[in-house]
Amino acid sequence: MIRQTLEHISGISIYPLISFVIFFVFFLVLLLYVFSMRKAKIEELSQLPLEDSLLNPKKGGYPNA
Amino acid sequence: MQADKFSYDNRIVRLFMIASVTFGVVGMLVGLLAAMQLYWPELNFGMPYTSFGRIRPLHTNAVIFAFIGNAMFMGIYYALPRLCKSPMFSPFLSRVNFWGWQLIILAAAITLPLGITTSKEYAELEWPIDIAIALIWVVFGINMIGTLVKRRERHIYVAIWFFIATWVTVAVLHIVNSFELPVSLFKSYSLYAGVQDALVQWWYGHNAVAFFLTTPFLGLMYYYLPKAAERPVYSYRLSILHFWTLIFLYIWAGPHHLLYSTLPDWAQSLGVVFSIMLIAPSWGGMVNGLLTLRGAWDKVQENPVLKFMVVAVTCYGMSTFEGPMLSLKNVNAIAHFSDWVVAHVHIGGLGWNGFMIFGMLYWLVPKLYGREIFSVKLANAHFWLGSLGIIFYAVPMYFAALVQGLMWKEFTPEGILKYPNFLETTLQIIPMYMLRSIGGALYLIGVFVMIYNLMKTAYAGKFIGEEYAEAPPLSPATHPEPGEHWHRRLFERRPFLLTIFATVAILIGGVVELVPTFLIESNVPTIASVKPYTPLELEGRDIYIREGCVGCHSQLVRPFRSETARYGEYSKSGEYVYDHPFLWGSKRTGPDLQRVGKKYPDSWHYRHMYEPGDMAPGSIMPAYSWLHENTLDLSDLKGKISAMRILGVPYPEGYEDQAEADLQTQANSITKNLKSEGVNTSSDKEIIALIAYLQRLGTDIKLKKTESTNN
Repeated sequence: MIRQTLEHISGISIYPLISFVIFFVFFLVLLLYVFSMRKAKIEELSQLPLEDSLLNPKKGGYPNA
Repeated sequence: MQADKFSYDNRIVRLFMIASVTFGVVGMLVGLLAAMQLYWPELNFGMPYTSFGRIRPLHTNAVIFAFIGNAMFMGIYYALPRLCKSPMFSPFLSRVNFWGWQLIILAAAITLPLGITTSKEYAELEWPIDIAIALIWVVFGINMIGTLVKRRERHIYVAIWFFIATWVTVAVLHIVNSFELPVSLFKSYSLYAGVQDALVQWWYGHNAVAFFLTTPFLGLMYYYLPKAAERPVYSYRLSILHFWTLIFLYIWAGPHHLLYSTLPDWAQSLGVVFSIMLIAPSWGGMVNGLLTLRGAWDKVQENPVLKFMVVAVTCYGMSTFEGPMLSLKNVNAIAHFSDWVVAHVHIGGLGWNGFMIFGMLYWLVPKLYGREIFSVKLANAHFWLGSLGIIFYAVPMYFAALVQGLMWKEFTPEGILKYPNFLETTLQIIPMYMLRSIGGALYLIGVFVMIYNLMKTAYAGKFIGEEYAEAPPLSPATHPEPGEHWHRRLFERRPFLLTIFATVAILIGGVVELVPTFLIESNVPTIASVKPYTPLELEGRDIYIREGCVGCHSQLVRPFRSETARYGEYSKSGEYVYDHPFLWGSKRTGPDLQRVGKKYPDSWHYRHMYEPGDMAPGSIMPAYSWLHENTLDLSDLKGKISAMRILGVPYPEGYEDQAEADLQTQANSITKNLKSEGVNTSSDKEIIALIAYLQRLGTDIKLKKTESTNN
């Protein structure tokens, strides 16, 4: 009698498929990108938060840290 | 090369810090009050402004936008300039950001207790405040992107990517979900109705959690955790994967809030699948955070900053595992509408956000005041109070959810509901509600211990308002470094490109999910017997919204035998086509109201709203006696009718002029009916409108049934 909304839109079943393909391609490209980065660059990048100013005042902090 | 000399502005960091802690205390106090009202209804104080329905959104908004929001700004305003080796783009915009945000919080703190609300969760604020939020958010964005443009560090660290994604996505979510048609300065109707409104709201609600409570704090984790541990993040590669997959996947998962609702099946399934997939990047992030401490666990024993952060990241892991589990349909069938969801958000809120904030505060205050923390012991005491608080909060809630969730579904061998009286299931879990508030109180005591410790630290030190630094200016790089491909610099160097890529990543999910639902608007089956609300019912509905009834009562009967036996026919999407906004709710502290119409006599509602305990002994519902005294305000009635017509509700042209007369007729008939049941009142009271609305709820379908049997 009363149908659920949208259950019968033509071709709606393609949506999840498209979504998956988009994500899968995106993920593959990302993996390729990440693993083609040079190691030296990776290390340089990961050091960024630790060298944030040349003066780098060492005041404050924890006695044992 | 000559190094540039410049300074970092610590004053703005301190301002946000003070605001965050202050509103944190306020927000948690309100939360504690709301928690206690659930077993001690007298704490509603018999006043509209302090009743549960109005202060629940006050609690959620204060904690999310004032406590966590200000802490997010605090963290970013400290980390961003240092990562860019440049002061913030504009100190003036920083101040506008700060004071603007506090004004918005003030506006929320005034309007929510007054009952000025859109009723859409975490988006309750009315349209003028929505506009202010959008403006301040733009100011924040200009300041952030401007700093990136002026930066002296070529590479954009992954934390900043998270900040940018936060900014972009919150902007998109806020704007799309806030489309509403103003009726007056303090009243508006959502542009969307029913199923569509629900879909947009939970696309927003889910992603507000993702992009206001998660991504900025992941960015902060990638900065403050290495800082506190004095070692780089475990795997920078993993952080890149974490970032892109997380923002790409998160946006799709919203429909898992609407399982078994009248949302189309494909959208529900999409939400479930993407929720499960989300475990991967979330846990990738958690593992990356925890492994940063590999070989440094001895530091965790000694350093309270790391203790807080370790528990925070662990709670993030628990919460992001629990979320996907809750979105499995069989789990959701029991957990949805129960206290499980409340426990789940508090693992995230108290554990992940709260403990990250405390960790940042214990790290920042000594830095900003140039001295050691006043007492490591007190910080440890705070850590244990907070951890115990979380456990005492969450465990009783899980227990309550299981007990009540199973009682709702239990049948006797004869096939009838074992606990047909909803109240019986509520009374069963009252002790759990009491334990929960003890957990909350412990957590709050911990916060007071922290405030004392931090203030002692601050008074013993001297505030460093300007922190001097120097760095060589950025030379324009015209050629790629040797061996580097042209595309290498796309993500990690160009702020605008990064912003655009992040936007595209989050838009794909949103578009796939939302657009089909809007395109086929004409396909929504309108049920012939579903008619627009009468003017009196419309006014009653607005009272229902004002009092925050939606905080405890759902209007969505799911297609389960246990629900149709308890409440009646399950909900159909066609029933909601005139509901601007939708009022499905997300928590059943009281029973569902979708089919409450004509279930009780008018006088029952009249007496029940006056003193719930009279009609339902032991009821924990607050009394709404002011509805029996207040005169119904009709000044916006014409505006409301024409606004609804603009939104597509088929009121005939010129109906505005007739609406008030119709309203009086219906009100008089209810008063007459009440009189026959022994209640004397006049027809101009608010309660009459509310009764009209409640008695209408869900009856369209019932009427249809009667007709078909007659035929």
